[in-house]
Amino acid sequence: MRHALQAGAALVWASARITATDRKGRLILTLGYLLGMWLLFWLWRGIYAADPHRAGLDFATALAHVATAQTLFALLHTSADWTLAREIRSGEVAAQLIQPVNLCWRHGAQALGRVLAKLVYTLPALLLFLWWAGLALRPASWLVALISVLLSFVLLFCIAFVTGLAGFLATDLWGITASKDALVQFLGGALIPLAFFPPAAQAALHWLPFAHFFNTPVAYLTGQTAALTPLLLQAAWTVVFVLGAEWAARQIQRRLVIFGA
Amino acid sequence: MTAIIVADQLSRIYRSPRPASNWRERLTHLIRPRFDDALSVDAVSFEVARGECVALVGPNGAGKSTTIKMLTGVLAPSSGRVMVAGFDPQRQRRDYVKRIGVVFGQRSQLWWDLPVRDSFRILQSLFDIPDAVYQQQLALFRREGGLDEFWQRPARTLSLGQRMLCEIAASFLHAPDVVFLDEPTIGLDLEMKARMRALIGQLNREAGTTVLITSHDVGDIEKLTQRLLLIDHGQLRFDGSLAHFKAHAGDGRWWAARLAEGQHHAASQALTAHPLAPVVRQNGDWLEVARLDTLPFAELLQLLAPFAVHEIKPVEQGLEELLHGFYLASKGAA
Repeated sequence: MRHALQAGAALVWASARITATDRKGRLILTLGYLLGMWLLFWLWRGIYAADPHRAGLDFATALAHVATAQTLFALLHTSADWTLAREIRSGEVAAQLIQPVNLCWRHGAQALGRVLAKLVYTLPALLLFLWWAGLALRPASWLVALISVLLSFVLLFCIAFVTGLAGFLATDLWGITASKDALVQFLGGALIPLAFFPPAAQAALHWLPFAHFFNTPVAYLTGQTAALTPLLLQAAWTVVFVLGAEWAARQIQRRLVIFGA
Repeated sequence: MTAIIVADQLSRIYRSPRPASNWRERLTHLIRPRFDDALSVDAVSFEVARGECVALVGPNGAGKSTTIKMLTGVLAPSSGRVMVAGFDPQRQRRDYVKRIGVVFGQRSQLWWDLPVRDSFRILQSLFDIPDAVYQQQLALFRREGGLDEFWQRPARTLSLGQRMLCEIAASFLHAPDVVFLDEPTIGLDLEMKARMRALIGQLNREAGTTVLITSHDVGDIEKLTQRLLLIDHGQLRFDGSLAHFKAHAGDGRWWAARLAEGQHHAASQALTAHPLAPVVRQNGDWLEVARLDTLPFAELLQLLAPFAVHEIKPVEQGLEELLHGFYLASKGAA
């Protein structure tokens, strides 16, 4: 356990440093992010122009929800799928298999490092946008909100990791990852708040893992909810996802060592 | 000496889908896929003793890299058994890799965008290397490999030679029992090769690390190894010392004597009349006599004394030539 934590910490640090050193790339992404937020503002303003209350949400609540969800998507989108798929296709994964670190743990640590480095740029940009749009994050408990964001990271990482493992089966992952990103955003409430969905779909998405990708952490961050039930459900799905990712990694690794890296 | 690497009847079959030539075959393939099997390594058995430095050589596609991958646990054998340092590389991979070091010539263990110093620190954490061992190994690499020159530079700015030097140092960083080096000097200049060989040789001798090296460079083989495992068409064709290979492979060893014109025939008759009847052949101005351990050099000189000998020299084929001949002979046999 101590060794796994020590190895994980080293990989988080390495990955964060590599991501942070790409200053120009980060700056361009941040500007792109701010542009996206500005467009989002006008889009939702247009949606609410005729009716100030839709799906039980006013303009400020809906915009705070979507802006926070999109920020989480930008932050927690770690490209773990692309990275892993490329390493499998190029055979680089062989160099990882000769190191005493679990493949899922290794990529999880690297993804966390990328998130931490992105946070340095994205957080000030989010605060700037919230100030400009006259919005604020008012969670009932910052601790619960942060735990929920962390669980959301693990859920999204597990999906990306399993998608990346498909690099062993498919040469071009673009279709798979693009579909995955669209589904995760739409069903997770990052494009449109789940309040806009029909009541039956909302209930189903809350019990299924989808709502916990974005809707649950956003609800905690914006103060839309303080109940602990969504967090417990999110935690339960996280355990299932981690076990699933670990199982998938073992299956693929078995095929890798059998068919050759 | 106890064996640290045991490969017993090791075989590896690669299976690939049979290409379809028409739509009917393509559709059939979806329901009942058909595969072609290629035997890459065929019942290879050998043992390597602790502290040995052994070369695994063979032409391209002979099965060297597949053998190395099976020994490192990256690839599962189709049949046969592997034990390295008391571990089964496939079943005990996580514990096993802490005891081995690997350099795949085309793959890197370094972090491309980070200074070498940081990559080594990360490897220390990944391999859980105690500080004392880390510092001791590092001091050796700095002294023998001259790592200080590029210690602070990101891996992406290093030349191929500098990067390979770092890769080799990285593979020895956790003081492993066995190190597998797959083409470690590929594409390097002469100076870099010399530094690399000195470092590997030093680590093999000082720490007693067992080294199994694959290389097409005869310099690597001659300067580093004492033993040769020659693999071709997936089969082990030779397992023995370098001296043994040189003595018995190819054209053999000869004495060549340059004689005055018109004396070759008479000298040849005198030599073949000897009770040992050494093989004699003419090669231009030179008369070549097969070197026999039972025919001492002094006796050969006595036999040639009646003739005007201008010059006499030993004729030995280089390792590269011997290996080339060996590969060609195998190709012909196959």
